[in-house]
Amino acid sequence: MRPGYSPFPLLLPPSTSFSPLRTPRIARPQQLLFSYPKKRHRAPPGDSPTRRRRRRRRLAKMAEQLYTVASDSETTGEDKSQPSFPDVAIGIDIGTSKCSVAVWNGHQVELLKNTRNQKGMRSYVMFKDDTLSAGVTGGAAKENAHEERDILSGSAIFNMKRLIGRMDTDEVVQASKTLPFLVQTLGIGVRPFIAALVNNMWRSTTPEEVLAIFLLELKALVEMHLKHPVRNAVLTIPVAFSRFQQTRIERACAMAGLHVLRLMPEPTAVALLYAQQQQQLVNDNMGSGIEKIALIFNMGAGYCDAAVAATAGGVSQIRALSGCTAGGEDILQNIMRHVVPNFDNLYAGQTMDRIQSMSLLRMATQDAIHKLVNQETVEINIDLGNGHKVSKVLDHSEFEQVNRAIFDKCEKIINQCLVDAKLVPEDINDVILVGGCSKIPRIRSLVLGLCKKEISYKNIDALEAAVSGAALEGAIASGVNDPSGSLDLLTIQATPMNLGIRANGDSFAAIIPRNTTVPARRDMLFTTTHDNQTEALIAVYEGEGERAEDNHLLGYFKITGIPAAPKGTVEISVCMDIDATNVLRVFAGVVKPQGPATPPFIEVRMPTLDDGHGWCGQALAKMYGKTLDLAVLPKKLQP
Amino acid sequence: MPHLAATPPTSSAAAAVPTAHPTAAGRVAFRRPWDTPRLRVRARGVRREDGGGVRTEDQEQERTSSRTFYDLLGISAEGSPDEVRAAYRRLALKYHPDVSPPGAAAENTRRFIEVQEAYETLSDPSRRASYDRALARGVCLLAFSGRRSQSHRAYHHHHHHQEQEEKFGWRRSWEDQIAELKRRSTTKDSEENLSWGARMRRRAEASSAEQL
Repeated sequence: MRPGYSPFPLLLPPSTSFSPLRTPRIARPQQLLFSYPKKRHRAPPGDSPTRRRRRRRRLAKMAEQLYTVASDSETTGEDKSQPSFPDVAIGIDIGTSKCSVAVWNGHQVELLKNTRNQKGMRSYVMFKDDTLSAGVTGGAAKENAHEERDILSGSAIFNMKRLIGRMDTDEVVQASKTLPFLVQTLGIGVRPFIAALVNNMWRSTTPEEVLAIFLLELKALVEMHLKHPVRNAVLTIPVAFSRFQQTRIERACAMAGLHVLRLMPEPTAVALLYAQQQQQLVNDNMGSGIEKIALIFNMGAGYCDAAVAATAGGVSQIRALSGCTAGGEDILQNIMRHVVPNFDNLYAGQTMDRIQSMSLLRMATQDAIHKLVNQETVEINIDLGNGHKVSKVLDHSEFEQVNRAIFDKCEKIINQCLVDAKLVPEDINDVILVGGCSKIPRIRSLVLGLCKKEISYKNIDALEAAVSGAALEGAIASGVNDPSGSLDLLTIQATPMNLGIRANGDSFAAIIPRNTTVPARRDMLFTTTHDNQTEALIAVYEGEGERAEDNHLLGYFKITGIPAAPKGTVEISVCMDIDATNVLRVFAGVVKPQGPATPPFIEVRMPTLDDGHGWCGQALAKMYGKTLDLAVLPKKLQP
Repeated sequence: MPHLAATPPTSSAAAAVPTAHPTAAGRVAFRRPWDTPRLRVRARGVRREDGGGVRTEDQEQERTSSRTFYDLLGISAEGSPDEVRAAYRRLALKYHPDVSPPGAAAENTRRFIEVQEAYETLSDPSRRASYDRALARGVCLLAFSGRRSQSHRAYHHHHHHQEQEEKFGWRRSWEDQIAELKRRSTTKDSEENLSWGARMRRRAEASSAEQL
């Protein structure tokens, strides 16, 4: 069997052996399948593997020709520059539940539709026999009605945005164990094992791989639409994504042959769209041109974000960002547990009948939550099999009570955003509500109430805003110049999380605090904690926790050759630099005493860690204890 | 942990950083060749009517003389909060790396960080009040920030920062030289005025750009 036609073209080990450069070639059969959605599903009876392979090869050849015509000159669409095409970066919003893609078409942002006329495509990848198909083309089923059931059959992997770049001790990963596919954890801070059900067998994959397959289909859709290859993309990400998770998204993109021009926190993409609209009003002499403050609240299936942006003259300044991992998936799980109180016992361990029963429960609950947006009460009636029937009437107050913890989280991030932006609710001009969950009445009233507003901003589509903003940024970052000035926009971004190192025992010393405008460069002085300490460990963390261990470990390195001196007398400078492209570098070295005996500074690009970052932190602590510790040098008084 | 002990720290640092040159200018050119078209277009655009990326003489003076945050933002000491914000936006459109021409990105990033610091101090009433008090005492001009930042050379007036200053001095002067070379290479078209090294760099840049 030729390597290119292996049943799982993208099922390569997630380790370092994977070269992004090789990806497009390996992946091409997937891309080609896209052109023939009807022929892919089931082999005719009596089909031998050889015949199937031959047919696929023929299909590939046909599609290759088709593709050649479509792209006008390129036969491969890979590894070469395409000077004849304006390489405008596309905007992609990969949602936990749905995904969309948009491009700047020369005049405005245009959202692309798939063959089923959908702008929002379900985010999943279906593993069936020897084919893979993603939700872009609706691979699970030809009819929408069957799609959801197939997604929940255990053969599809979804919610990859919740799983990507997380270790198995993460509560989000733990909560994902109730999904129909396999999520196995060891609880020691390594990658979770995930697998899809293929012919009654669990077949392993990784979130990056699933995302890559999805992005590949998405890329094919865009290329079919634009009739030329695309390479660059701007993706939106949740505010709560760690830098490590960002590298995983970049890796998935590389596997799909996409180059990440920028990763934009979702609410900042919405802020960009808002800035453009405000600028348009000024150009039309309808706006005042004075600074407007917008609070953007975004809640989807997996994440919840808030941002405060100050906008004037096309400049959107992000004053504060905050986010958490609360979303529609949590609401759904809460309601499922509420409806079936012995949920965890009933669905412990994934057997075929349990997967089927849970998928019924999941669909019925999801449907009820959607109905509850417009209804006072909703009735849930399901036969879960094995004589287990559920009949329940759910109203708003019960719904709100069950999900109180989630609404509290939403409240917390909005309040934190306002405090960090040093604003009071009265300062806010517009409240922008986006994301699927922003339709929930309680969410709307909660956000508007906290901002002391009666109504939310009208001119932004809740489901299309993030992707539109990403496409705008894609056009801007690709150097597109619009004569009407509608791309004369600038977003001044901020860091969503504290960046710092472990110091004073297990404390976290933030060197770049959250909501610092980027690019940024900050430094801090540290000192030794033992007499004649010649080495120090710099463990770089990101997060909101007070203890270092409560944060994400990004990487570590040692400073060696510290001149022998009593503790507390040596001065070690640790400088953190986030450059224009959001790359974090850490510089560290001895600044006192000076002389030829001091070692050179060390510059490290972060994150350096690949896998098992949680496990790593514990190993470091176990191995070295306090011998390499540093302490924050108290600031000397200003003269 | 043998791997840590066995690996000299310098080599691990070098491996983590793709460019051996620690200059910010080199880094930008290395990492984001795809950013160049945008910058070029932007430099031509409406935004850049103030003279593009070419540093004018008064900007050169700005860098060397001691000045206040008010001078930096180009407003009077009585400037209202709205004026502070408007000045910040104006300067952000001038110096933010996203709108900078390629040759000036590194220098502009540094200037943007200075502008940001000025804005953060002057837009916060209590910080502005203490800054004004410090100004009145004539203590430090740009130096007042309440935080150490070694990226801004003018900020260091305290003796205990001086060693640190020296430590980074070589890098900064090097970065300045590189930035200056880059600036020249973008403003002068003829290769005759350039050194051999600059010509080689340009050719290498051009050929690597072609390969992309």
